[in-house]
Amino acid sequence: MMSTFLYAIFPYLALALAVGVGLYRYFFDRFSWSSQSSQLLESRVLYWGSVSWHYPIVIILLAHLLAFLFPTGWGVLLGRPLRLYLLEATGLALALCALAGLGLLMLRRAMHSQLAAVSTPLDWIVLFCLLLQTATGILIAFTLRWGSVWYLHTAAPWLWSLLRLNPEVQLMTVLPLVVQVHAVNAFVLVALFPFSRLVHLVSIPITYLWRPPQVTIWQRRS
Amino acid sequence: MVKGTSVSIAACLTLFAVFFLPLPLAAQESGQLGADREIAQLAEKGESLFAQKCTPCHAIGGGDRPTGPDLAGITERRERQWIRRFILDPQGIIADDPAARQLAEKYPMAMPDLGLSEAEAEALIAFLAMPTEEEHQAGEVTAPPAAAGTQAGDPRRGEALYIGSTPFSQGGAPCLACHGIAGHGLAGGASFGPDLSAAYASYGAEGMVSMLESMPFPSMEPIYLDHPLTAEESRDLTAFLAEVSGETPRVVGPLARDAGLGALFFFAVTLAFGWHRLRGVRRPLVEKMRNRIGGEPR
Repeated sequence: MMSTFLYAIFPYLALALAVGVGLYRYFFDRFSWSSQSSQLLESRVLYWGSVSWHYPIVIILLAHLLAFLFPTGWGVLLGRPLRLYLLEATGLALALCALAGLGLLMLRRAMHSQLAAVSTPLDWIVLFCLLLQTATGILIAFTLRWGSVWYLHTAAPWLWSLLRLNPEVQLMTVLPLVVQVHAVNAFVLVALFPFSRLVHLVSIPITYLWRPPQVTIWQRRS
Repeated sequence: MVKGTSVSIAACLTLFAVFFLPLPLAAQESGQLGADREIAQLAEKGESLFAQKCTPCHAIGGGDRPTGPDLAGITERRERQWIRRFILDPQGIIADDPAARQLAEKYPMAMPDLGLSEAEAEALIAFLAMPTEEEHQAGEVTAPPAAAGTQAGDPRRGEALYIGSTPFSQGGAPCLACHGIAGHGLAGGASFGPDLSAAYASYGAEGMVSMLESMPFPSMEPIYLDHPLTAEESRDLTAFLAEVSGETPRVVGPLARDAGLGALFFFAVTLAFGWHRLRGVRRPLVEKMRNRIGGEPR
């Protein structure tokens, strides 16, 4: 019963929230559709935390997405032990960087009084969910090798079955607890997306790449 | 008058006796038949479960195998409750029952949790109890189904299937996704499932082939249910496993080291890019202003 809820109902609820509330927030509260910058309050730790978190986690997310979208091609790519090992070691290295970056960002938010003052409970909930997701991912990568291949035959078909509106729950229920926590928590993050600063995931300032240059004049004396 | 009444009562009693007394007997007989039919149906269900879940490791009347004892006449040797528990909770009974522990010592390949329900366990027991031992031995339900094991497979193709460079024809997961194997580079240290370097030594050719064809492990069932291995693929894999049998399994020690080195490289790149980041423009100005207004320089 619980597994039916977690793997056949909750993912749809999470997606419905993400799309429904996300669109509502975009059209009726557009100025909140971002994550507030805290760079002016503190920038040194932010650089290390933000860079170490964002670049690795985006690459890891893309790897999950590509394996889900092109399972056959991904299987061919990993059909050689050396390639498989290199990909797994690289993924684990990136995940360790992401964990370190996230840890720094959390410490920064907790230790810096000005930042703590502007942090909301939801910020903390999101950060803890992200920490749980990264930690379980590392645990899986290290103890249940090789996730990059068995993912193609367990979680990926489950995700496809969700898209076909015919969830194959048993693909997930036989997996170890840590994998199930990782999968369910992923959809918890999807559900949190429209309510939190996570919306910045789809708010990329791409126009900065071609905007005209700006000159900042700082107290020029005449 | 009195005589006429007596005759009538006697006639009624006779009629009652003729028509109604046999009914309970008939009902008893038909009840017995129904129960027999029910047991037969249960045993039939048990037979298909046995073929699916048990034949990779157990025979009936075909003798003990390296993977498990012959189950012919098991219901006469053991109590039903004991058998039911062994089917439903093999690890539990091995932990606290001396007879079960003795069996586990004799057959080192631990019996997996088959994920069966109470009803399925009952069906299996009904099947195991149904035919007599003689009937089993006469070959009505005989041992290992896989005659395929007797033909030699191609170990090179088996190796390619194992590591995934040749995909399984029905799309099943390559073994290396979860199972470590000796002699296959760093990736040989897969750890989701048990290392299979010694699998051939434990199961033998016949057991290996039938196991690969039926995949009786709950965690593997959903993966291979719609993507089974062909008989030829099972033979090739078995030939490969026979080849590596006896080699020392690989332990993946360097993964943590290599990932750690990769992470250090990433931090070094981050440091290189961030070394003089914004120092020349914003920070000196901010610090200048802070100094002017007497704030703490940062």
